[in-house]
Amino acid sequence: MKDENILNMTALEVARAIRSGDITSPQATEAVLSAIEEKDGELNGYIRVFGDRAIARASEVQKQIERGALDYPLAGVPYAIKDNICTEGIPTTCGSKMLENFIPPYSATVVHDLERAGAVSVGKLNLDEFCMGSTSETSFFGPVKNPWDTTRVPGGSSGGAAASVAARMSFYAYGSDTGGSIRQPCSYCGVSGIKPTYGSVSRFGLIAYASSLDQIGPIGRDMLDCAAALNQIIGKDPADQTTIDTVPIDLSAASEFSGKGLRIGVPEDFFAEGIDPEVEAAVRKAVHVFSELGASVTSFRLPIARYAIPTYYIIACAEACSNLSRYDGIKYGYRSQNAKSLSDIYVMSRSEGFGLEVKRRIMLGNYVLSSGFYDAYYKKALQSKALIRKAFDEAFVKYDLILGPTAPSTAPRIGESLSDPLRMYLSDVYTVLPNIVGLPSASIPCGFDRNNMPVGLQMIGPYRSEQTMVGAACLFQRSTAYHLRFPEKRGEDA
Amino acid sequence: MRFTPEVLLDLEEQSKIRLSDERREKVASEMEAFLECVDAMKKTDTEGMEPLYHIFPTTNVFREDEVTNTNRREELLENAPDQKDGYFKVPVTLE
Repeated sequence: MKDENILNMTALEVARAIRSGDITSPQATEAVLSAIEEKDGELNGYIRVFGDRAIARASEVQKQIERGALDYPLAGVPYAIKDNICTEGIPTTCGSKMLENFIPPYSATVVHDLERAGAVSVGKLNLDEFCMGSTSETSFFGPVKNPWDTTRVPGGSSGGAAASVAARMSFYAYGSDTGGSIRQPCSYCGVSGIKPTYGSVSRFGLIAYASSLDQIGPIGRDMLDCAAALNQIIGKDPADQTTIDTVPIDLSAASEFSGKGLRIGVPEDFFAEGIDPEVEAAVRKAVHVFSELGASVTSFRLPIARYAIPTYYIIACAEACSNLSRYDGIKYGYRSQNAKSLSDIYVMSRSEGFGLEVKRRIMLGNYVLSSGFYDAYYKKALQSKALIRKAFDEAFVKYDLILGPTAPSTAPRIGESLSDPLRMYLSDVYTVLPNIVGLPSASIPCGFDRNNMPVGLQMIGPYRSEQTMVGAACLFQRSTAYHLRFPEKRGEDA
Repeated sequence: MRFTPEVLLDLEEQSKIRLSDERREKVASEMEAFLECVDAMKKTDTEGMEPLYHIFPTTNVFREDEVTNTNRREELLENAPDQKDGYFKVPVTLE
């Protein structure tokens, strides 16, 4: 089979083709590696690519599959992982000069899970430095470009992950989502992604940004691929006490999901000032698809949404300044060559090793936690979090799913957001809510604007409602073709 | 203006970060803009609302106290910017 044909398959199709003997895992891996070779010079989605290492791993997995020793649903399929997830013996940079030469002495729990499942890693993906950014421009390793239009950003912080899936440089990928870092790049790049219920996936080995918000999740070409990818990494982990018992998503049930009886709520607050009219139109059209498929759709008010951004950024910066205090230039990471004293080592290593966005968030975190301001900011944010939780609890009595836009606009041009950080923060307005209270949330492609840039539909569900969310998303994707478009085919009608 | 030069210097000290002089002013105005946006949150009525720390009820988890880690000192030190005789090395701190 030609590389091009292999690259156009979904991850589950590749897995089936490998099982049936139509293609081999090394063949699929070589196809992905040549796509990376061809496109990534421009896109910069990967920080590190495993060439021979990936082929060797694929051959080993292939033998196990042929022996019948591996029957996981995605065995042998090449994937890529965000470079904030630790891989033993392989540099893990978090997109920062601080960790440029850091070689983890252990692997994240999800990496062990993936090894067991016969997944084949082709590389580590570019991201905003320490995940702090919404555009993948703050990486020490240079900005990632959007495969649909290389003058635009792919979103962030999992921009490399979304770009790699959209550009057919990986069949599926893992990112992490603290305030939208999986969903927003999925929206900008026209791919699907899930931020699972907080605690579904172990954070052991995920480099911490804001521990109460961070969650690893999958990015794929469609929701069924995402569900299969999520199933590989869920479960309680003794190394992460915040993990919860989680039931895998039933893929065949998800592919037969019926919209009849599904209760959908649409917060009108998500269409308030600041939303691009073309995004609004695409999202409303997508919601209408659900009502045509038998779902009941109701508009409602979620006024608490207006406090989402302040609540999120206070919690995130407060946790970040604590989590990032570990970078001291002594145990691992960057040390300034000019430091003469112990105090110099701390200050100079951090000043030279962190980028501006990281410094700003650490300082904001220290500000909101300082005595005199703690009650006004941090405590207030946690009270606001309680209010947000209450509002969602009430909404989920009436609705099974909440739908709305993933982001207020399509992908901005490179450089636009860096000059105005506040504007970048505000673009996270819809995605931060689920993180604040740990709800599962997904983004799927639901249209294109006049520049042919993808628009994303965000789904938010109650705790542990991934089965319903994936079912509804699969139903939408069986009825529409937005997810089937990809950059090389731009301009054709969906 | 909340981020006066004194406040900023104090924050830099707490954060163990030193900003360059040309950056300092820019960062101050960006943080100021951010706090103005945050001020909207002060309007929420949170009277009597308990701060929510964990989203799920947390309970103690007990396990047997078994040693599962091994001595990996050499391996762990490989990431240290400077090391000597099995220890992290830093400049002299006491004369």
